[in-house]
Amino acid sequence: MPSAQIVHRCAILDDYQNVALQMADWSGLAQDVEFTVFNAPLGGPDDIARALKGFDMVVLMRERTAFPRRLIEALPDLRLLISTGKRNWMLDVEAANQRGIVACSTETTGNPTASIAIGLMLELTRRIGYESERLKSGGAWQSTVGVDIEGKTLGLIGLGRLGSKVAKIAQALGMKVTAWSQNLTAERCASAEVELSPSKEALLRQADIISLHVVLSERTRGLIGVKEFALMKPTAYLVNTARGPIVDEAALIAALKANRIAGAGLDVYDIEPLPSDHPLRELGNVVLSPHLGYVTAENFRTCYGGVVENIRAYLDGKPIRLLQPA
Amino acid sequence: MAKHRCAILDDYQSVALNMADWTKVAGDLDVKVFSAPLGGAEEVAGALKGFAIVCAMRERTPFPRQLIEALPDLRLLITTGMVNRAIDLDAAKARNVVVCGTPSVGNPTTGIAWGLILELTRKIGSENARLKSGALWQSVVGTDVEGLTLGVIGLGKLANRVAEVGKAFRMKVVAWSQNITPERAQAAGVEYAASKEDLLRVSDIVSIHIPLTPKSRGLIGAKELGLMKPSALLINTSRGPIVEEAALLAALRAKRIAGGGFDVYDVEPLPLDHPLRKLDNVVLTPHLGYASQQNYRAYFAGMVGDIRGFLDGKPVRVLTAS
Repeated sequence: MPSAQIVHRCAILDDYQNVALQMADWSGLAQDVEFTVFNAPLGGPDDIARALKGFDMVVLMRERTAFPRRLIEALPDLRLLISTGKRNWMLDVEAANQRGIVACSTETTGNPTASIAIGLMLELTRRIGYESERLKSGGAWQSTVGVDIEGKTLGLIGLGRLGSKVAKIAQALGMKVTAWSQNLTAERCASAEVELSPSKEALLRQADIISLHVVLSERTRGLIGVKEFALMKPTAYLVNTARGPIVDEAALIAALKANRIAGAGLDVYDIEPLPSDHPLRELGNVVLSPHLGYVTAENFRTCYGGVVENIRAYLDGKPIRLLQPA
Repeated sequence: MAKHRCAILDDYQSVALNMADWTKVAGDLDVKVFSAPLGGAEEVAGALKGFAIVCAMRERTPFPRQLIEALPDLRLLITTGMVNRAIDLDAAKARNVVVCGTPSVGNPTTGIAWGLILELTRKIGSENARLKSGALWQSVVGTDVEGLTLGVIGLGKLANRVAEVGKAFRMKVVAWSQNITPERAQAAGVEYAASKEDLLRVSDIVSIHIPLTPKSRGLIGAKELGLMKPSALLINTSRGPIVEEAALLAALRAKRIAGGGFDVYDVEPLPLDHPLRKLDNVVLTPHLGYASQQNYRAYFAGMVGDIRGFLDGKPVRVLTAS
């Protein structure tokens, strides 16, 4: 058979660090697929539809770009949609399948978000990055007296894979751990060697640090709002590495501005990338990271390696790791 | 009765008088708080002339024989914590100076050691500073510590705790020191490295948790840094001179190792023009290991108790040369 000319056009979205093409071996696809890498967010749905016109394959990095029905229906050439990670709440799989678009996922490696949750706790309580920046810019010696988390109580909302890893690390750091979620059982807590809190309210009253590890769903949207902030200790810290809308952002900003709680460590936001003029960027009592939870070299290698496999399998007529409609 | 003159040294954060209830001794004391380092030995002697009671914060200001002998009015010297390798206890005894320690709380250095590791691998603090200065979004791809090998030098209380956290992160942990036996490593649930060289060769992150002694001074030098993986990180929250600073600077500059996280230095406070402050592949903290509110409360409350005991003729927590 004569070698076919390149017939597939593939868009790799949201590769902000410009690493996608180094994180996997794409060479086996080079004969069949022409790749275009986008290093910045594409904008609103109309901008995205325009930018992706003519691509029959699109690779998403996690949930950085939403793929609702309207967008899918605006892309008549699209045949293969690959999302990194095992699930993607921003991708309408049903709409894709109705259009005959194959939607696939990839594996992930480890639980790298656990390090961001613990890192945010340590930055809030010990100010390591802050003090390092000060020393490097010629600041004087010690300026802070930290809070040791040993002996403090960590309240985990959610005790799944990530929550239980965070629990283990916190216990090794000498913290007491209590957990609650809408469907958390005493058995699950016992197997994770964590105390089950009788209610969300009890957990919020008791915890010195509250860390969220539930998925975003209609049940968890706005789980932490004005009423919940009022229950927390004035010395408490809130850590959110799960999804922005689990916390009512207006209530969070009000609580932080009024020093109703001591501070917050956030890796996720209602709108990502966080707008340049967002009020959170102005607050002294927050530590902000730019959704780094899943951003490790190990995880990126697994994700992009999976993308290469997915494309190969699709081209061979045997697509793998199909996403199921929600 | 004349009040006793009492100097509180090195209170950089200006918190000493708020961290404890001083009313139990306030009536007997004329207290002066120094919130900046006093300088070299002669300056210290000059500044402390006439004080009967001196309260030191950890080892920030050393009290060698020469200084103790230059302070004829000194009667009570208090250090925070129960060990201070920078005070010459024999010299104090010879001059009839009572030396007392204070309680401490927890293992707050663990949080600094782990915070340095996470800052080096995930850059939370530096990304926070970028976001707050208006940068758009992600600039780094981190390294997950899960699956990497943590090498701890030492296996005391702190090393053990740092190792436990490493295991909770699902790291492999190996340990070595001049005193560790395979049995102790096994009891701690970590792997025993047969030699320093073995530990340095296999570790992705090396963290030092031994005291500074003549045996440990310069334990990590050019040869040792040369054995480490080019991707390895070195963490020192113990004492600066355990690592040869010139060799460390050379290794970091040449990217012989990937980076370092340091809370301790040869000279503290770290001089403003120190070359470490110019390097990109280091995270530097200003000896924060012991600086927690819980620890400070225990330190300063202990200080008040030490002074009360001394004034009542019943000194407590007296430190003597071993």
